Amino acid sequence: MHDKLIKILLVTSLFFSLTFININGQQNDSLYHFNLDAGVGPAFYLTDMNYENIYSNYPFVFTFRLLWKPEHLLQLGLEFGSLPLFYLEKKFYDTMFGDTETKLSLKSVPIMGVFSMEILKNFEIIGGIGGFVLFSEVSSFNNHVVNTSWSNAYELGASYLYPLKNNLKIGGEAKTYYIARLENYDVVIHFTMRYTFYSY
Amino acid sequence: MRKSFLFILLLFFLLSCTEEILTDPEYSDGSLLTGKLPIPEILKTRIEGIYKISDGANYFGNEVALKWRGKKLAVYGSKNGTYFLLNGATKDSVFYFEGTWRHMQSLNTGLLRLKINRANGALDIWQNSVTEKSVKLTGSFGVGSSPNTEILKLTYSRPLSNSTESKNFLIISHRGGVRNSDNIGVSENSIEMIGKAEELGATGIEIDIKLTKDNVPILYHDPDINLRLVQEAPIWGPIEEFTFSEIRTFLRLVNGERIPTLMEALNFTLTKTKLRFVWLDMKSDKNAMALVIPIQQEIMKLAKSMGRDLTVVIGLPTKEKRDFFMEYPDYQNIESLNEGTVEDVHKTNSYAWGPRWTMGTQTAKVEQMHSEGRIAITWTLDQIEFISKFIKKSKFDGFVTNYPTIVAYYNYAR
Repeated sequence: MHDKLIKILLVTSLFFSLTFININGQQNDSLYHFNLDAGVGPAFYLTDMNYENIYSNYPFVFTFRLLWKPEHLLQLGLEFGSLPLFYLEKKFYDTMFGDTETKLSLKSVPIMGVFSMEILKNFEIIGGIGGFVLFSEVSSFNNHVVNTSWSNAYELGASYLYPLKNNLKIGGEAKTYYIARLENYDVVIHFTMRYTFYSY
Repeated sequence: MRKSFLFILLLFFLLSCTEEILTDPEYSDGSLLTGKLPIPEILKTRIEGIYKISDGANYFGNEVALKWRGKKLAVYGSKNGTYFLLNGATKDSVFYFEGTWRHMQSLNTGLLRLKINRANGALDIWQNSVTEKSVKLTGSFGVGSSPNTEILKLTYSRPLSNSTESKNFLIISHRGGVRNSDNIGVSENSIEMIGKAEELGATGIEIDIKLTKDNVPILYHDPDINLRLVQEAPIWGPIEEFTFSEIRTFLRLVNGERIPTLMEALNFTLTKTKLRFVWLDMKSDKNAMALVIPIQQEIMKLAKSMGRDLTVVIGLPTKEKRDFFMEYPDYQNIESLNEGTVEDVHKTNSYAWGPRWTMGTQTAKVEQMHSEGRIAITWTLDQIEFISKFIKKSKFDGFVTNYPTIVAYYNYAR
């Protein structure tokens, strides 16, 4: 149910923002730039799994984004990061087969093609399409299984970046990834820094 | 630019939509059958038959087959895979039926109430004098959970086919019944699905066999753990790398059932159903013969001791599996189903030959199998026009299908 609600809210807010906000079609800056965005902050994997000792909230995850910004408002680029999704660790996990020491985890590395657009001064919306490399590790009942798999993924978010210098901005960012293989969302809130490292 | 951007974003969200599981609607005004008596067994078969539909044909087609499945009256039709499952009762000689209908090939479903009045042939059923047009089931049905607003009328046309072909024909449900994508509220390859197979028209099942890491044969179709088959779980990866304890502890099938062991599934089939045939589709990447064959043999032995007509065959889909099978001692005396050529069938001395249906009716080869004392079963036949054609023109002894309701209709209407 919460999945549908999130979808409706996001699509509705995007629709209104894109419809009613007066966007300047071009900016005054005629240079092309390469930007590097780095973000760090908490992440929340929205899972319905109901196991004792399962953790799906992390205080610090990080993502990087490399963006090419021509003279238009739209920036294109690639995003990477490290997003642990959940882990479960218990010394004596009580099961119908007796106690077992259990360690289960799922971590991910997003590899996303992203685009970002400044729709208000310093305010950008971000969309992305790509995938997550999923790293699963399961240790229980004296068995250890490590597995790597791929999932298609989609990204949607918004950021506010305040310019400190010509080539440096800082601000905040909120974004969500939909991980298709897991049919779940990961919500990330970042403190973000943008560094423009090359202009031409 | 803005419109394109919005379109792409909307597309992301549409792509992530999931399908709802279809559940049977229920009557809000209680049951029509309350306070009425069970229909005597001797009368049940007199209600069975092929019926013409006059009102309601736009939903359910022109003709359906009525056949009791345990305590329920099942109605099978060809249009969109129509089937009804009805509970029945009687009072003052009148017969009352209540239940649900479903199109197997879509998500359409609804509630249904029918009765046979004295003036519409109820007395003919009591007096065993049912003739063409003498019995009429009249009533109404609704769509979804809405009240019954559509009129339905079925008129008895003729008895169910009494031919040997019809009686012996094997309607083999794929994956224990139907697939998860058919949304009947129970999961494929589960005990619960095997329990539903007969209601769906099946007389046999095909189930998929994998091995756990600690060599327990289980029912599971795909190579990996995924959300098509199981609920969200904290373990991911190839199913055969996990132990049975891990699978039982951390995995539930999409509708909440446990993943059954082969022994549990066959025991259930033997003791709780009247299914006559089980095709074990050997999906394991490993050589599972030494673990599966003893279970098959034990169940066959038990069935024989119980006087139960049940054949369990080891499916041999590939050369690799055939080679594994032929490594097993005395393999030529073990019931198997060979999907290869006729020559392959001879090599393994298989009980059954199982060619793909797209190879055609292959009448000469099927007759050769019969002359050698074997049976021939084709798979996986789902298209109505081909089901009809193969029932009428082929000599196969059975089909594997995802739509047993449709095959049941054509088989009973021969």
